[in-house]
Amino acid sequence: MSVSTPAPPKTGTTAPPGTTVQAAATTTPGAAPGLLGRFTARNTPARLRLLLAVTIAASLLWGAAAAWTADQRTSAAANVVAGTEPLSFDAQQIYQSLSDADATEAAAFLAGTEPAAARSQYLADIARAETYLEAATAAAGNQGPGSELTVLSTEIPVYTGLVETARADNQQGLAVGAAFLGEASYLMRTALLPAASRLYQQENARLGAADQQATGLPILAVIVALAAGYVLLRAQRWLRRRTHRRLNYGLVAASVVGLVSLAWLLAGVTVARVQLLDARDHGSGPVQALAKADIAALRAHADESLTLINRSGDDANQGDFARVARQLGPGPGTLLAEAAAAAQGSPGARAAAAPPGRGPGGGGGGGGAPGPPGPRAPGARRRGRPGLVCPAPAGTRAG
Amino acid sequence: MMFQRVQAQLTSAIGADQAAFASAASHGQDALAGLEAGMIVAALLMAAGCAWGLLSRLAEYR
Repeated sequence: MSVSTPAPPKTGTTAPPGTTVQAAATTTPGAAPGLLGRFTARNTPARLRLLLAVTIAASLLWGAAAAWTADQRTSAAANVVAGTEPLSFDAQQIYQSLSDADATEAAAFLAGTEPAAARSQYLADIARAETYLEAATAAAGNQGPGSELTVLSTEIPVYTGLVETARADNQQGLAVGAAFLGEASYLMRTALLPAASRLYQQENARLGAADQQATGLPILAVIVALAAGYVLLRAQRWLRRRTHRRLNYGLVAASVVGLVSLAWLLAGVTVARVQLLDARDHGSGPVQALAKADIAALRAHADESLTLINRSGDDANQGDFARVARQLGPGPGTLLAEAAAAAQGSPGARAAAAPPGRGPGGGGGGGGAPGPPGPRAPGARRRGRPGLVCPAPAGTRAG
Repeated sequence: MMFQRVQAQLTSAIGADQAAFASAASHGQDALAGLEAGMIVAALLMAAGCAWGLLSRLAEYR
């Protein structure tokens, strides 16, 4: 079987025009010209068809890998910006608002007649917590923190009811008001704050996962790009040898487009990675450390107030105050120190790195470095700034 | 008072860092804008280039 190759002038093939070449070496005698045979035959057209299929497949595979990588990064970045981070912030604000409401209401009881400013602050805190709760519920969608949100939405009214009862009793001079406030605070600490804390932790974990997905290296896309580039390179080398032409413009154009798209993908992913890592290191990371310190300060504040109004002799709040105040700092290894370290270089660094000269629990005079509050003997007199040192133990302030 | 001062400082720092996060994360998201569609278009162009280059060679054998 022989094939006459007219060889058009522009082909530059090895066979001179009009010559007849034996194709026995490049075709399978008697091969069926079926679809498969058009690709598997050992002649040049069949190889060209095979090359065509392989290069197109490599191009499409590269496109699929690159588009998948871009989609993953885009979704993760969108999730960080519009999904998990706001929800994490909402959860943190819920915790902060509830904790502040608890501390404010407890402190207001100390005044006997509740100051109007404290009342406004308490109401604002509850309203803020409810607003963020609504936002979190709207944003959560199918993300699953429904149980925590349900606890918060059902228990906040119970808490506010107990507080109102305590206020009413307190205004009438009934000592049972303190018990109701204690009950409200107990509810806050055993149900509301733990639920808010779990919600915050869940959302932080989601934020971390989304952040990791958005900042991961596009290894798969690079591997596929290298494979596709190798296929295109080999195809061009084979064509050059076979046709004696330096360039095949189509394959060259495909290679250039491939290189440009790879460069675009790498540049986009790298810029996004740098920005998102910056957002984590100078944004969400410090916020988490600062929020931990803030929550500890709120808790210590509430503990202090509850200890002062507690008339049952239970010193659990005092013990909790001492423990939390020690954790808060300032001083090495404390929450304030961690917050200052995490916020280093971030816009919040100045505020975090300049805690008050004395810790919230840093009782005792002296101008030296403040340290955690030392254990105090029951009944020890409060010194230093009122309201900032370990309060007198429960029971001794019954008024 | 001291607690309020600590909390005010912390709240201010949280607000500043929150704003920094939102800005940087938003820039990161912007860097990926149009990337997916661009990759699909690029892949189709590559496939078209391959088809053009190799089909023109194949045509020489017809």
